[in-house]
Amino acid sequence: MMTNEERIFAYEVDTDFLEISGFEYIEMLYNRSEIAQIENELSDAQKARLAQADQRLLRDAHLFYAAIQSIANLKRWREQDNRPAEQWWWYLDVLAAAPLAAPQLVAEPVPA
Amino acid sequence: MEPRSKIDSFELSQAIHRIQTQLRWKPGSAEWHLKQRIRRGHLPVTATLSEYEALIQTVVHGPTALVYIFWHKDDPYISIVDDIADKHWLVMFALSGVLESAYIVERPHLYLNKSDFEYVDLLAKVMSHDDE
Repeated sequence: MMTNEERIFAYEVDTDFLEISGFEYIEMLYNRSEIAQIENELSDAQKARLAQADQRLLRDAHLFYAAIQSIANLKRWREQDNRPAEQWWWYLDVLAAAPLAAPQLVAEPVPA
Repeated sequence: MEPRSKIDSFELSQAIHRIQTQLRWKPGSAEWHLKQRIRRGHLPVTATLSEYEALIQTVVHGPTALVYIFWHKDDPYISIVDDIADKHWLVMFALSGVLESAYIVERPHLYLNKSDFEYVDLLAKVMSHDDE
């Protein structure tokens, strides 16, 4: 059983490393879904780290998807687990196919 | 789902024998995998590639290790799972013997039962076909 900190740390490391097997990213997606279940237990600092890791995943969605696609059928895994759209990380194929949407999702807030 | 080819038991045991004899990585990937294992805390920061490979060899020689075939399209990847120091290590490799990955799986129950994974048997039983 992983602690919340271990889950966040694993997600941070995985989203910051694009040189491994796409199969390991499947594990990363499961981890992200578990983090979603405990998100309200996270500290502000952990939430900020999660947001940064999410931004990396969104920014590089096409790269993560390319790695996964070479070894697994992401759509089938998503459908077998009935992943809702709220768990957007299971939809890297959709995000990768919508390049105009990704920059808006990862854009830095504009200073007032 | 796409139709699957079948792997006969001799072909499977030969593939495992190949990786037991010599680990083969994709070009340039060994150091990246080692680096990721260290970053994730799966291996100590002082771990060397030799130590990582020794651990992989322990997994692929474990008589009670579980052998699966993971199917992607029509390509089989042999997956061997064993417990090392209370952690589930998974070693995945192509039929050719080239390693795909070797890492700690935190949630084996969530995906080893997926339709893409086909459970074969204990490693010792699979390898007993090697002697036939």
